[in-house]
Amino acid sequence: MVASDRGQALTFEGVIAGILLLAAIGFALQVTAVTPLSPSTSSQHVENQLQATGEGVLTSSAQTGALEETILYWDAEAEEGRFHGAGDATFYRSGPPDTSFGDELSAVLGSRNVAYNVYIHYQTAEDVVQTQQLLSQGRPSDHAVSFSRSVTLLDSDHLVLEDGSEGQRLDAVDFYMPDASTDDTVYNLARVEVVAWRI
Amino acid sequence: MADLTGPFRAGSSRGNDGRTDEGRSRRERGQILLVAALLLAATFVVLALVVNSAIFAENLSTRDDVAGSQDALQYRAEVVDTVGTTMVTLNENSDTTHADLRDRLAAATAALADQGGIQQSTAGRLATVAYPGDPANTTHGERIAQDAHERNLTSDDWDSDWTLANDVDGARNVQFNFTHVDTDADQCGFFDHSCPSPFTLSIDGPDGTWTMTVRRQFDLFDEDDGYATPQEEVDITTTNPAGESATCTRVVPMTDDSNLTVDVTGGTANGEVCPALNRLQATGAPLWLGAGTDTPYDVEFTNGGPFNGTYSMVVAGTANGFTLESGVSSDEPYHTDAIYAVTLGYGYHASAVAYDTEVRVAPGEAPP
Repeated sequence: MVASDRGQALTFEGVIAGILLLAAIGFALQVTAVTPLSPSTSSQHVENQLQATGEGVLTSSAQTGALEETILYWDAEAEEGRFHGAGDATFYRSGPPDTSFGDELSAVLGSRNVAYNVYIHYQTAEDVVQTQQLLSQGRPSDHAVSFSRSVTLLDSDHLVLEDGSEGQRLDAVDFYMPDASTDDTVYNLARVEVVAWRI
Repeated sequence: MADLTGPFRAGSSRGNDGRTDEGRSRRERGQILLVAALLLAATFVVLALVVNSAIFAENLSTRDDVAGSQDALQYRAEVVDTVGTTMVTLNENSDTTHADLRDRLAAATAALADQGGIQQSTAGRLATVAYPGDPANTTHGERIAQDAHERNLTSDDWDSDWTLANDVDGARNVQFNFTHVDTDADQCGFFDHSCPSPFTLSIDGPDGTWTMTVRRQFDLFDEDDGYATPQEEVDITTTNPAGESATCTRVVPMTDDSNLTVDVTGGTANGEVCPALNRLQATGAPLWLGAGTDTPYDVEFTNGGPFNGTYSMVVAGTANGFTLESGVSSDEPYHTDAIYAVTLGYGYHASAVAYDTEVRVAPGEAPP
């Protein structure tokens, strides 16, 4: 009876020790799981860098007027309207537009294995936000970043022709963006959004 | 903790508790196993804490100092840009009174505030921009300009040396587009290094005079005819009251279609950065418009005769009515009422940040 008790105690201690070891190993494995900060393409640091770089491109383009030029790079003569050189679609698919902003995007993001979509948000006279896509390079991944910038369009602005020269006034042509303002100075407030992700 | 020594080490085959040596040995092995497991478990927990603290520190390093503050400041900069663009357009395209300009800018700002507010609300933020259009929030000014490309930079009375504005509190968006830069070689004798005379923009304030000169380079000794020969290079030189100066050079051929554009307050010449317009002085501040002098100052042109082109600027104060046409003129320099600067009320409220402030909008102004 005494030997049987000792055997049970031994077994019990062995089992407890095993459970303790397994629990400790399991816990240790859990806390070293892959996190958003683990070295990978989804690293938060990389996303922050991409975001800061992209915001820099948008800011400089807005300052030089390149952003506005690209918004207005619209071929109103084409059937249903489309951006100049976009082919059969209304927006660009193969690469950025042939404008200063397109060149900057290509130089800063395209050369770093970063894919990006560009959207132009604007409002209608009924205060409904609508979106015109400018460029599509696919479906963003889970770790995509987004950055945007406002651009004022005025009633006195003109479309930009394919060769970069000045076209007709906005209110005289069939432009994708309506005059959303009753004011006689402001035409619309566009918001250019770039969604970028590493590939 | 079980006692692993003591009476169990006794030499007898059966101890006081009646256990045999073999039984005690098995019991000890089990206890050692348990202690070892406990130690290992504790070690793993400590390691886990170390790894976790490293991850936490890394995580913290990716955060803003104040969560959401960057968005608030970025949208503030966008508001300054969008209202500034509208103000520039209103000033350039309107020949009207200060009161009318204020009303139009207030209406335009309200439209921008509404549309921007709706866009920000889709991201869960409340953004407000307010400009009531009253004189208290507005710095009135005058826009001084010449639109005639082929006219020289003289006054309405054809004076080469003249004052555009007296005692103004600032000048912004100062831009030139030279369609002709002095090419007259006859004025220069042999090795006359002060030749030719430059065109000079002077900012003459209580602490001295800041100048920007534009001057074509001349080859001062020509073996063929003994006269100086104009070159394609044009120097843009700035000098502060302390005598510090800087120069940048642009190629401007002597043909009809070659222009020289100088954005004085933007710091560029022909669209590229001109170090003369923003190089650092000894004081550490850039050598931009009016550096080293103080307001109120006079804005003057010297030797405008041999230089043709257009120019435009907005001054805070009153233009010199004696030498300028009032109202837009297509062939003479003129001045119109303009808005120099406005102060907007700006509010930004999101889940992590609430920010209310006043922002000043004066596009193309060199900081004082």
